Amino acid sequence: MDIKIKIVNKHCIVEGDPVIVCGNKAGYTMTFTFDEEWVHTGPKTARFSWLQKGARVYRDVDLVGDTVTVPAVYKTEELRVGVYAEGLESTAPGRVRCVKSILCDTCTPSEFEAGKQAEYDAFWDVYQDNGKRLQYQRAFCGPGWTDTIFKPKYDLILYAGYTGKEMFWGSRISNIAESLEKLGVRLDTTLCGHMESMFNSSLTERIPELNCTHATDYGFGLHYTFFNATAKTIDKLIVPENLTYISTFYGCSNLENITFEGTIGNSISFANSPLLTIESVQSVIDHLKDLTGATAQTLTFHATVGGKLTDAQKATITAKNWTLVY
Amino acid sequence: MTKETVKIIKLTASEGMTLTNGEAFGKTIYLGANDKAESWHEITDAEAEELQKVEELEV
Repeated sequence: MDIKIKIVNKHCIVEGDPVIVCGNKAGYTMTFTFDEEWVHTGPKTARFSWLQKGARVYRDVDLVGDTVTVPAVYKTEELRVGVYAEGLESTAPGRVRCVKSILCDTCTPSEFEAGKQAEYDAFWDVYQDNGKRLQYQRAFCGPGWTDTIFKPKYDLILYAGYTGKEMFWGSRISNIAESLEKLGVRLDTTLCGHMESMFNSSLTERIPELNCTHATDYGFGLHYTFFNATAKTIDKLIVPENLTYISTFYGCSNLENITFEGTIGNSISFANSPLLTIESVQSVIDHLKDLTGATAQTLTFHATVGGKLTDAQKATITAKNWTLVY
Repeated sequence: MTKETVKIIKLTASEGMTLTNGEAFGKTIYLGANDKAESWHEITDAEAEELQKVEELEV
């Protein structure tokens, strides 16, 4: 199809109402009729411009005589064309309507996957500062964080400071530990100085290992850390003996499995956890600090758990100067 | 083989009552080696329930 364009007083006037279908490399030409201003000009060039994904792109094509082949355009609804020549200012653009072809809004599966990957990278590179994010306070807080959305790209490394406070408060990620394992991402709390309410009211079934060595840095300990959390399993808590536990496991009625490493040096309560396994109970007992000569601390279990303790376990607990409560 | 006689002091709350030292609450208490029975006193179950309520923090 040949599109006729008149150049009058540096304006491109498109004759008729031609429509270009996107995606055609050789289907269209344009023939220009120039006014007397262009009689003595040198070689002329047509500039074609269109919007592609929000950016205006262009292609220059030299005229052959007064005719030029229109380059293929994609995913646009308007093509602008103007002409310029050495020694003469360019024309104002003329406009030609375009319609998208079958090729415009479709993509191959690999193109689709590439697009998905690009979108994923764009979000997580920013949200995690290309892996350099220092603090995750409230980073995944709230019911909007679900399995579908929680897909961190980089390791969650919590540095010194208020970095873990309320991190997963109220989130609806069904299994944080499993999600991280599948993604190949680790949660590193070794330097974290604040873990208050970190998993408060979260709906996760399993919580990954937490190194609480620095959790007392800001004087809060594991306060409300698992308050009303629905977790069945806490993989491991690595605890220093000066760590304090205020309402740490309050409302943890589903808690079955917990493993300790380090030393429990202050009163701790599992009063709301009737499902603690024998192994979990023993792990607690094994890591109680020997408080002989010091002020007694209390170890509180749910009545169901306490009623299953053996005489030997009770003797071990009390011999370390811990008062057993249930 | 070693043989030891271990003495553990056990406190049991009266019916309808709960034992507390002001921080921990329970029906059955096994005192730590250096803890004292005087540190614990009885309150009603209703009082204990009220005192153990923990308000949820606001985000």
